[in-house]
Amino acid sequence: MQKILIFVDQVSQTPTKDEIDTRREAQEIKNALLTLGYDPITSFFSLNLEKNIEILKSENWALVFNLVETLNSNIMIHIAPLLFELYNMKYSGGHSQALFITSDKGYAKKAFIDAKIRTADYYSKNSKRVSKTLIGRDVIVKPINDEASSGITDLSIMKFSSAQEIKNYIKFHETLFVEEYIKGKEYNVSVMKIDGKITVLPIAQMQFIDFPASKPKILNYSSKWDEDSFEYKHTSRTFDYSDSSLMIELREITQ
Amino acid sequence: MDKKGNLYFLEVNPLAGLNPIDSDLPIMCGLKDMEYQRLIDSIMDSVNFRLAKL
Repeated sequence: MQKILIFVDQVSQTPTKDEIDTRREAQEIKNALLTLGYDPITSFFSLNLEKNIEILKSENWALVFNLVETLNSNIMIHIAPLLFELYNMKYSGGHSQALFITSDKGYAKKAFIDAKIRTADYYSKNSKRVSKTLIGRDVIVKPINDEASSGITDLSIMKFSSAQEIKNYIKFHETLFVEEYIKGKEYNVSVMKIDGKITVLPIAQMQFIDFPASKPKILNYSSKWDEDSFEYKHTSRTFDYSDSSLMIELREITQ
Repeated sequence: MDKKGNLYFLEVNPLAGLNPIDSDLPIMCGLKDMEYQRLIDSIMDSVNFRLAKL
C-alpha cells in the first residue's frame, strides 16, 4: 500500500476559522485517500526546516499531498514545494515558483501584465509611480501576502486625494497595497487537468444579496468564515448565466 | 468585470481549497459530475505524471 504524506499547516494556539477549515480539509482528503486504497499519514509543516526534512526522510513516501497554506502569513508558502523539489519528491499543488509569484499579489499582477492580461491598477512598495486611476476615487487596500480574504473589511475601501498621499500611506503600511476598486461583477474560475486536458470548470459568479447601497460589494473575511455575519448570510455563488459570450472570453483567457 | 464589460484578473490561487462542502474546486467539479473522491484521485493521477524538478 502506497504511503502518502499529507503535509498541513501547524495550527496556532488560537486557530482562526480558515485554519480550522484547513484541518477539516486534511481529514476529508485523508478519508478519500483511504477509500482509494492509499495509506495516508498527516503531519505538520513548520518553519523548522530540519524537522520537515526529518519527516520527509522518515518513510518512503509515494508522494506528498501539499496543504501548506500559511507560513508566516502567506509569504513563505513556496518553501514547502521548494523542499519537495530539493528532495526530488512528487507532490500535489503548484510548483515553488508559482507559489512564490502568486503569494505576493504585486508579483502576481506583474505576471498578468507581462502576459498582457488586464488587471486592476495598483500601487505597492515596489511600484515606480502611482496611476491616475487610484487618485480621487474608491480603491481597495489589501494585504499583499495574505489569502482567504484575511485583513479585508469594508474599511478596506478607501479614497486618496493625491499620489503623494498614497505613497505616504504605503510607506507606513508596507505589507499592504492599493488597488483600483472595480465596481462590477466578480467571478471565480477554476482550471484543472482532467484526462490529460486542461479543463475550465463551471464558472461561479458571486452574488451580493440585499446589500445596502452604501455597503461595498466585496468578499471579505466575514463573508467567507463568519457564519453569523451579514456578509456570510448575504453572499453566495451562482453558476447560472445568460451571457455565454462572457463565459467564452473568461475560458479563453484562463486557458 | 466592470460596467463596460472589461474583464480584470485580480488574483491566482495555485493551492485550491479542497473542503468538499464549501471550497470552490470541489463544488465546481460536482457540477461536472465529478465526485469528491474522483477529484482527489484525479489530483493523485496528475501528480504521478509530474516529476518534481530541481
